[in-house]
Amino acid sequence: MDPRLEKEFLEHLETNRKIIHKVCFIYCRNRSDINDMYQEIVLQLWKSYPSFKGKSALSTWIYRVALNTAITATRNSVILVKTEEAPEIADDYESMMDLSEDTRLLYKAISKLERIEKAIILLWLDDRSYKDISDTIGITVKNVSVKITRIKVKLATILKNLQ
Amino acid sequence: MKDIDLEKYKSAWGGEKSFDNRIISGLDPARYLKRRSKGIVSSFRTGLVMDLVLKCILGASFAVLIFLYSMQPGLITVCGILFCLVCYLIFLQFKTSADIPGQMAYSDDLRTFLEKGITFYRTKYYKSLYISALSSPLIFISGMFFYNYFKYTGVRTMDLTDFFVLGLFCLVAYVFSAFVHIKHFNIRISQMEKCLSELDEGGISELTVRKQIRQQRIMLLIAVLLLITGFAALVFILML
Repeated sequence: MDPRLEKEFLEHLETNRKIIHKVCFIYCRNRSDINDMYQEIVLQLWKSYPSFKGKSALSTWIYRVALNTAITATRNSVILVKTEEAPEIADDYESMMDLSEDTRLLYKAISKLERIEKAIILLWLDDRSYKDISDTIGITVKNVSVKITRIKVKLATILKNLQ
Repeated sequence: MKDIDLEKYKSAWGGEKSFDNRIISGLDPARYLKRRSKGIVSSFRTGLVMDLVLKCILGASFAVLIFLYSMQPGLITVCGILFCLVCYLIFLQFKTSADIPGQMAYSDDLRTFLEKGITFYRTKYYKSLYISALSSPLIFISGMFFYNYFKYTGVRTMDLTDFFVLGLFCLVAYVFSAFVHIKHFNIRISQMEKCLSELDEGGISELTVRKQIRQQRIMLLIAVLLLITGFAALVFILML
């Protein structure tokens, strides 16, 4: 592909690295999964880049591709295992991250959510508007509002039990 | 028990410095842009490409058999029919590969992405799994013809028991292969269906899935009937 396009893509990637990082954080449990997932997301972003027409914000598009990739990942069965089985942050992951206590607790709570719930709450935590979440997930704004309310209640209950 | 202040956790999440760290160090992103994807869309494509390669080899082997058995008209007919069958199956697999959701599907919203993947799998790709499974009995038949040629320089006259054993082997090879192919992909697709159902909260998509399962059973029945008919035709031709 065009080297200019590649340079432009890598610049966008650098600016929005945090988004991919968060998706990997939510859907993976160890360093090896993260490496695989991160590379897979970047690859899908790169392959889909020509289709990005700028109709939505770049960050919304990155969220879409990243979530589509993470939710349908086939690379590693560990990613697909129900997270209730191992809600703790793996040692190698923990050494890699230097999380605050609140984020650590939130991570544990989120790991108990279903995959779609994780996607929605991730967008909510990132302060995305309901319209943005609706565009990323493909459900109505009203449905987004209902789901967020339910997930927040569920998350609060889990957090209460974890404390 | 005290109430949980989710906003406190949201702020902690928003201010988390760890997310700014590089999670992959020492690797040039430009390098892994060239790696091979193992996503669901790619796995559809890989499965089809592998079967196409196998079927091309099978086609070539039946073409060689037509040449080797040029002195036995009955076997030329059988190998000719099998060669045409393989060519037709290659055509069908090519048609399916053209319908694989494109790379651009990743830019769709999650719901559309899941629907596209599931619809493709449940309608087009599912049929192609039955076609892929046909490679196993065809390899067995082709191998048997080659073995007989190099061992006995020809296929001896077969009686009813031979046909029964041959048919049984082909059937077992087909059923086993189809089972493995379908089981493997069903695991992946059921995860996508679960996500879609979660989005719909057990609404329309669940009904669609049930309808699709019913269609799959009909497809399986048709495939088995076709296989039995094909085998009976083979017996009839060989007995001529």
